Amino acid sequence: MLEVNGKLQTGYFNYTYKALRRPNGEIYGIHHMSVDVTEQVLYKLKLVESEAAVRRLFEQTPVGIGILKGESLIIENVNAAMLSYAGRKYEEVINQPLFNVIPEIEGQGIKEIAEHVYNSGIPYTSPEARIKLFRNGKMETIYLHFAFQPRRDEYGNITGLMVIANEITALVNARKRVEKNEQLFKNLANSMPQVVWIAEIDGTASYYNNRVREFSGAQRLEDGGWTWEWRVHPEDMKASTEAWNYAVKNLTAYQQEHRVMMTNGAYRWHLSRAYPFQSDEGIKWYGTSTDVHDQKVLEMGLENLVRDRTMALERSNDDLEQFAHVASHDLKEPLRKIKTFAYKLKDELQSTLGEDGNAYLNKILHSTDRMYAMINGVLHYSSIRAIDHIPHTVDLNSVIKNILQDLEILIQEKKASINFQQLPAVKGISALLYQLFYNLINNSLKFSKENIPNVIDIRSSEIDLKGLQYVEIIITDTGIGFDESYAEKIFATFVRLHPKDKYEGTGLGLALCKKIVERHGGFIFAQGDKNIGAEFTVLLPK
Amino acid sequence: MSQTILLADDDKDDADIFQQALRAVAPTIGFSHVDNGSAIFDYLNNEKNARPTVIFLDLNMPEMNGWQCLAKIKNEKKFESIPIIIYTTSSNPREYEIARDLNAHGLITKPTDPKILKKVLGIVTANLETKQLREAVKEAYLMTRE
Repeated sequence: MLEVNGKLQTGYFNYTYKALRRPNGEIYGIHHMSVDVTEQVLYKLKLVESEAAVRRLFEQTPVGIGILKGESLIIENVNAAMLSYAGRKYEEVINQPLFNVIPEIEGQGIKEIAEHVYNSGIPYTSPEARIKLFRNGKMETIYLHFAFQPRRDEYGNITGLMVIANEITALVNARKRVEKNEQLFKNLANSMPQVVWIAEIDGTASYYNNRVREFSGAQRLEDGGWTWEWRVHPEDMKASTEAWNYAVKNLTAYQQEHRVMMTNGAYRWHLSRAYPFQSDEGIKWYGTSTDVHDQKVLEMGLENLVRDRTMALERSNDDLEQFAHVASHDLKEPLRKIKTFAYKLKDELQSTLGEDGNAYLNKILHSTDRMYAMINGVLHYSSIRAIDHIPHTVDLNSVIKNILQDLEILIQEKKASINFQQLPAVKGISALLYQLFYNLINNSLKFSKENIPNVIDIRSSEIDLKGLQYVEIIITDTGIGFDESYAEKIFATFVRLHPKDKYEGTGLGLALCKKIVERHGGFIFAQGDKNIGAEFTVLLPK
Repeated sequence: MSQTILLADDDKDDADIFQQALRAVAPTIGFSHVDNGSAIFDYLNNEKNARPTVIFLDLNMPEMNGWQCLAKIKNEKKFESIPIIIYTTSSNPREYEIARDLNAHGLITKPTDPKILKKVLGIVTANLETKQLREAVKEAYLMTRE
């Protein structure tokens, strides 16, 4: 350690001591020479240092490296990694020819490759070589990513080889497992009777099973996969595309029935369904398309049947209405004449006819009026359907009040008393509701007992039926009533319980009530006690 | 000035009854009868015929129906001023409105009882050529509405 220029430094000196002699050989002094060899020494140290670093790198790198010398590929140096791949120890292999220490490699083509690289100087790389080696006490199949590189001297002559290897067995095995699973999946998919497909998160199809070959527009790709153009029936295309786009956008399940063109050009109904799944590779769509053509045709056949029947029914209803309209007009014409001339007879030939004659004429006129009423009743009944009014809130109180006003004379005549409490409002068509309650109240009045005044009560309440709210209106009277056994019959058309002379009626009144109630989505039923009274209950949705 | 009623009706019985009633109620008023739509125009265009003071027009005539006649008559300058009363068997209230919309003086339903017909004709004839004719027809209409 010297102080040089004020700083303490380490220096290296070669000290030489030489004995100085007189001619007679007597030592008279020492020649001391010291040479500053610091630079050289430092340089050498650096070299040693670098060498050590390289050596460390060589030793510690996880990549297997082997340095081979000469044609016989003597193992000059080999690192731990390479030794582990080969399953050998350092002492076993150092300075030995390569192929002596791994004889089991014979016949696997490695020797030939090495010789070729040595002779041609062209390096060789195998990204994935399957090699059988004896290690850990047994023959193992490993996968190596390896390369042979020629070593050259300063003149460019090949003096040996460098071998670099990376064992990728685990990687390759994992990959093979995945391939096997994929193959399993593909086999399963291909064995299914449906078309199975997978799509990416953006909706583009990335896989179809073999069944898709039955679809027109399916094409086999080079790698054995399939693509398919959406050859869907033009009428179904828009809905299908929109549904698929919606599903893809919102990650909701997709389900669509559509007609797909088959290879023979015919369309067949298919049910396509798909669900999004989260996997390691992100979200993918897994879908199926199932041929439902036969069921669909059956279903549509039935639908058509129903529709045809409904249309036929509607047509016949329309015809009926028209017929009723025309018939009623044409039927009334002769009646009108009968009436007119009956009147004339009465007016002009009163005296000639006498009492009997007049009585007969009255009967004629009376019957004619009944005929008019019947025809009007039929016309009215059949035209109920034609009224397409928009339902609105109807205040039943004012409806009843109007009815009572219109029936004023009859009420007085029958000496009836009518009581009603505050009634609620319902949703309906006021004209029809008027008709409904008019008929019911009119009936009650009509079927009053001879000399006993009728007491008619109208009350209401709200009830819940199967989760829906209804207004219940009950009309009770103390008239002649009816036998309970007729409770349902009386709502049928043209049913009358009494001889026509005793109580006027067309037999259509209650039938009309029933029609109106049903039109409003409600219910009507009756209870009766002969000679005591009757009770009619009407349920209307709120 | 002498007045005439023209009745257009294809029903002979109705025409007879009308005529009888008219004669009973207003014997001085003339009566003419045609039994179809085009015959009305023949009558009107014939110079020899008296110009009707009012036309009773039935709706259900063959070939040209009452509405068409009404429209046609009202479209001709020569005849548009003649009051027309629709005279029909139908009791459809809608038709009353249509009659008014088409510029008829109103609508009367053919009464079955000749007594009522006489009343009707009484009111109408009493108000011919007056401003009250429309009101009179309305009153008659209400009487005949069954």
